[in-house]
Amino acid sequence: MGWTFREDLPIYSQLVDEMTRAIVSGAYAPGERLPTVRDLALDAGVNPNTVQRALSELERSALVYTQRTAGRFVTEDRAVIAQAREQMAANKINEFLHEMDGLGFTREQIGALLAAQPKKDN
Amino acid sequence: MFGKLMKHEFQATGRSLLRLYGIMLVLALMTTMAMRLFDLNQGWQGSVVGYIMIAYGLSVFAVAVGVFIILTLHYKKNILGDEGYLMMTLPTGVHSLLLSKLLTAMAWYLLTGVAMVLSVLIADSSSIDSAFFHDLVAGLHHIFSQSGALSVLLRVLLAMLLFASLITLLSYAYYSLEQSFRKHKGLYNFAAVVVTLVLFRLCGWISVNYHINAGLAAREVQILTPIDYAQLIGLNLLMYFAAWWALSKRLNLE
Amino acid sequence: MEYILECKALTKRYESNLALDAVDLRLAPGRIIGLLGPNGSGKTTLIKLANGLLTPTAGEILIDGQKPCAQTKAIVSYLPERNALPEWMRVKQVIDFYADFYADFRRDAANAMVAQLGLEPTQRIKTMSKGTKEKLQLILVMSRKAKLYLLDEPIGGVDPAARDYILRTILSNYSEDATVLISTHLIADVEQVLDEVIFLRNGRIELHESVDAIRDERGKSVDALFREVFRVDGRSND
Repeated sequence: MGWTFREDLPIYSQLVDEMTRAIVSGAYAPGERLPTVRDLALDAGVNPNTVQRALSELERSALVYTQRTAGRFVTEDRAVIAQAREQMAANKINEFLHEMDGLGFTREQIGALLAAQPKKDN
Repeated sequence: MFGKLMKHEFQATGRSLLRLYGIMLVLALMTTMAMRLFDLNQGWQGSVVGYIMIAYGLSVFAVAVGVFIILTLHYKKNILGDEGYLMMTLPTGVHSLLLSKLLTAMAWYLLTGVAMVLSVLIADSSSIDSAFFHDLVAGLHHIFSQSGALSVLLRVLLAMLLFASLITLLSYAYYSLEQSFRKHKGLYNFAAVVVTLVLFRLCGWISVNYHINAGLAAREVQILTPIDYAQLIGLNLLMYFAAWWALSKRLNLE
Repeated sequence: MEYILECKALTKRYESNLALDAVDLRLAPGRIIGLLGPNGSGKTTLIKLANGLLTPTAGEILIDGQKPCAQTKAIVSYLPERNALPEWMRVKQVIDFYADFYADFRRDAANAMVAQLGLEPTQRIKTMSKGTKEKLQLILVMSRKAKLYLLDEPIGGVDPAARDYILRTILSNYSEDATVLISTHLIADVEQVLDEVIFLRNGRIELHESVDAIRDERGKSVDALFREVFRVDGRSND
């Protein structure tokens, strides 16, 4: 039921990642109202307290803010979103490089492989 | 809460009981119609009427016995079966559960009596004419004009009520105590029979001794002495307490 | 803080078997808690003690500070392992029953869920499949706005779609000030719904922690930890 989660990480932190991804990719537009804790919990198939904890984390990193009685909204501060995007990219790249290092590739080889990749139409 | 318990008890038990009454009343109707339609002197017709009357008679007996069986089995199923998980977690005390069932049972016993009398009147309606009611009123008048007749009647009624309540509570106590024994059920049944026999023997002995010591003349007829009433009430209380105790302290559903 | 459920040295002994052994437990309001353990570990015994179906041999159990009684039953909503609804009743009658006896019963919520399930008010429980009966019972239990929900093996023996339905029903009827205690031995399916878990073995609590803490500190899911702790291959778990 709901979203699938990894076994070795707390669910709330996986929710944070998932929602950050959604915000960064524009699935949740800047200034858009987020679903309620209850709706998110139902959708994801997780405990509402877990959702609450994830949203609090997002609030702490300023990606999300609460307007009393109106609900939770994605920040309109594009700079913050851009920064989160950069951070996600950096994490992904580190992960990738770490794996490739483990497989024994040098940076030059990685660069060559990337250049050889067919261009992606955006 | 108590009223609701009784309402649901009536609903739950009414389905079977009303069907039972229905069968009896239908047979009563068939009897009375058979009496009117068939000529009793013609061999085969007389047999048909006879069989219908027998069926009716059996249905009256079935109702008398059936009421008790249906109510007792309902108790066992509702409190001690799977439904017990629902009933015993209702926001109400054990007293309410027990009393609501007992009072409903008593009401059904009275209703059964009424239904039986009604069915007899229906079955025998061919012999009911204006004279019948006249005789009935005259008879009743005669009975009630006797001094002490009313008091006798009331005492008989009271005794019947106490007895009906006792056999009901006895079955409640029996089943309620039985479920608290996971193993040793055989032992319990043996003990239950022994205790019941001992109790009734004891009561009989007390009653006889009272009769002797009270110096009652052999000719004096007392339906039941005060000591008998006391015993009936005492046994009722004992059985009620046994059922209550088993359900409150020794409940162990499945 | 008022604990909704508290056990103090709670012990229950049957004729030959010690079902619960001096259990100490405190459950806070507003949590969904898993009571996990193999069959025979004492889960059902604990739940029955909480709703007054059993009396303790020693120690005590308190619901919102009170011993189990009519008042505590009014704030505890219990889903038994078996079907307890009278077979002869129709859907409408059993809803009326709950409405009659429980002041916290939300009739509209129940009617809505029953309709969603495709059940007619005139349908008799006798005619329903086992799965449908279970869902109906769950609907009635979760339609009450109780302080403590005790669900005894709600997802055991049900197909995956029904399991999803059950968990979704629990989540959508969840209220912040209520506590839901789910007893089960199928952990993987419920783990993401739980705040805390309690591991129960042979009548003793082996562990009582939050799901987040277990994943954080041990780097594994509760399901994985459970399999470790309750290994049945004869090897020692110490």
